Amino acid sequence: MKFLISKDRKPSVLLKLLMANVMVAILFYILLDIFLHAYILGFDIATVKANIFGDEENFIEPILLETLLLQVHIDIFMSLIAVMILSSVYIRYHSEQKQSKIFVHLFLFSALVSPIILLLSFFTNMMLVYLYIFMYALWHILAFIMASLNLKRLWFS
Amino acid sequence: MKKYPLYALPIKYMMLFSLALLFSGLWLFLLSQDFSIKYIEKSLHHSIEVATPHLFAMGILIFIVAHFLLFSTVVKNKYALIASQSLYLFMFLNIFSSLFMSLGYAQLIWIKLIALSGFLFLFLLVLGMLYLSI
Repeated sequence: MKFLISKDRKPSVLLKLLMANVMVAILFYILLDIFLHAYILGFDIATVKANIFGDEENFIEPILLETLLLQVHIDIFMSLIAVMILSSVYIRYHSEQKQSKIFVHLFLFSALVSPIILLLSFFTNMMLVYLYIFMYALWHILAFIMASLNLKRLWFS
Repeated sequence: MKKYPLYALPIKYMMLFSLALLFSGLWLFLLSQDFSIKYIEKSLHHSIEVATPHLFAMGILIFIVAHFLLFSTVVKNKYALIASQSLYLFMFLNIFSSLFMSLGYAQLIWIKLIALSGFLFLFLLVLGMLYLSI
């Protein structure tokens, strides 16, 4: 990861192209990840609620703790790799900006707590599901902005 | 790191992500079995299903976490090398003991438990070394 921020070497076209392509791949990953989670948990609040807590009227069983925990486990790993690459490249090109620290902080924090809140919601109530959706949307929006800003620098600088 | 002080932020968060990953993995492990013979008798299909993503994910996670120690001025390279190589050793023992257990070598459960404990201890140690370095 550290080689992504190292400026010890002269700017290399190959490294720039590699980073740009990773950004494009992560952009697609972020978009498809939203659909993947929508398929797993539901496209609307009522379905998400039914899938997590169950619905007696419609004979829907609540999600198994093992299934949810596995999803959270996978989410943590995938987001770890994605946020590390995105933030490393962002810091390389935008570290001089004052708002960068807050932006990176908010991005990393929302990505970290999002799966943890999903797991906690299983043991508590619907309020945490709303918080999960907010945090999940926040880190995906910030990831999209960060990847776009990185791409702009990589293509046009 | 001095050139980019902001880079300490993703490293600190990476450590928190790693802890969350470690905790959820341990929870999954404890949830999926009841320390009885049933656990040892899991099918080869199930063992391969668990081993395959873990070989990749654990391998890459150790690499990401431990490579930051290369740039540490606090932890000597010798200790970083021993810790990271031991981590890989425990990882392989952990994963392959599960595979061989499903082939009938039930006594390997002890290797599995020792390797898992060793992995947890060493991973926390490496995270501690990294924390001291940033």
